[in-house]
Amino acid sequence: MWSFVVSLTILQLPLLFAAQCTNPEITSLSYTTQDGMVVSEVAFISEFTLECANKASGLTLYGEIDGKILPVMKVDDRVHNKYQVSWTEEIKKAHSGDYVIGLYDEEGFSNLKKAIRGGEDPKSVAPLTTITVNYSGAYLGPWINCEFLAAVSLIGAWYVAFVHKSKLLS
Amino acid sequence: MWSKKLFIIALLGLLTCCSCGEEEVSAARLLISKHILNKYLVQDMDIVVKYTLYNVGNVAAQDVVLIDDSFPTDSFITAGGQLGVRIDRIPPGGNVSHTVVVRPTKYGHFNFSSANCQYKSSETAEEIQNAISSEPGEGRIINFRDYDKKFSPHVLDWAAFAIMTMPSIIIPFILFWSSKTKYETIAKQKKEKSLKD
Repeated sequence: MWSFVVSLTILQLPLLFAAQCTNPEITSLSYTTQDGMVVSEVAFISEFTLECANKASGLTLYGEIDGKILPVMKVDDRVHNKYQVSWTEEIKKAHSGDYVIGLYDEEGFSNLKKAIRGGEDPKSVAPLTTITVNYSGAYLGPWINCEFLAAVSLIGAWYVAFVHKSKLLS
Repeated sequence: MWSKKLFIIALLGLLTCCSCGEEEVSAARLLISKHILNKYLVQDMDIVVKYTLYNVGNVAAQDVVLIDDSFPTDSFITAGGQLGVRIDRIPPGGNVSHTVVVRPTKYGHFNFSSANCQYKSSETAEEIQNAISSEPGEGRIINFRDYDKKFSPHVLDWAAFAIMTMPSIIIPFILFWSSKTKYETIAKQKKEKSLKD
């Protein structure tokens, strides 16, 4: 009888811990729009696969960046634990460089919400893991217009010619 | 007399309607917007599609599935993000956004139609609720060559123009310079001679 109970408990242990992810490993693939000429807002997209040492799957995740909460969409959480987190920002407000997103599970997220509500620093709540999205900045057209450059060089050439001419005549 | 009866019936009907409404309130209701965040739609260039799901009900929406199959695979490729995603729950009054970047491989008119969404309106609900997003409407995807003609810095064209105009400026300048140095040396020699004398 006791052995049966013990074996049942042992069998159920992974189920109890399945909701938590231990030693999470992330492989992420990010995409940001580079061309500011055609788009009106920069899209930041990160698709990532979460691997846990305890093979936990189907986790509900939440993202946080600079105190802002981001929804984490499930792409294929049953087989490959694949997720997507995405947001958009105005071109003028988006800075180039790394964007670090903290990923939280349900427990971490409720702690994070409490911290935000209490006016604490969101960084005080340690995330499950983080992902980095690099944004190299948007192309907003050339620095100097070719037309402008041509006009400037033309004026320069005319000035040189004019100086020489006036020297000769004097 | 009849009008009074009709009025009472209408009033009763209105009341039942109201009570029906009240019963329906305890359910999640999703409003889905689909926006194209672009200034221009250009072939082979990014189109940012943003979906925002608002829960206007007072119960959390469960098992929300968002699928957009309005981008045919023969004329669009997904550059970033997924067109089919799932989220476990959207709390009442909450909103959730999702972004995808697609690239059109063809140009011409395209009707950006709605995305589909399925969800359960409460935790106990067995029935799956279907919803469709707003439609961004028809848009004209410009040919990449036309776009490039208008917006590229035309560096090569201007370089070619510079090379072509160079001879007409450089040749007279060289001629002038050579004659100038020639006459200057003659003038110098004359000056030196007169000084010696």
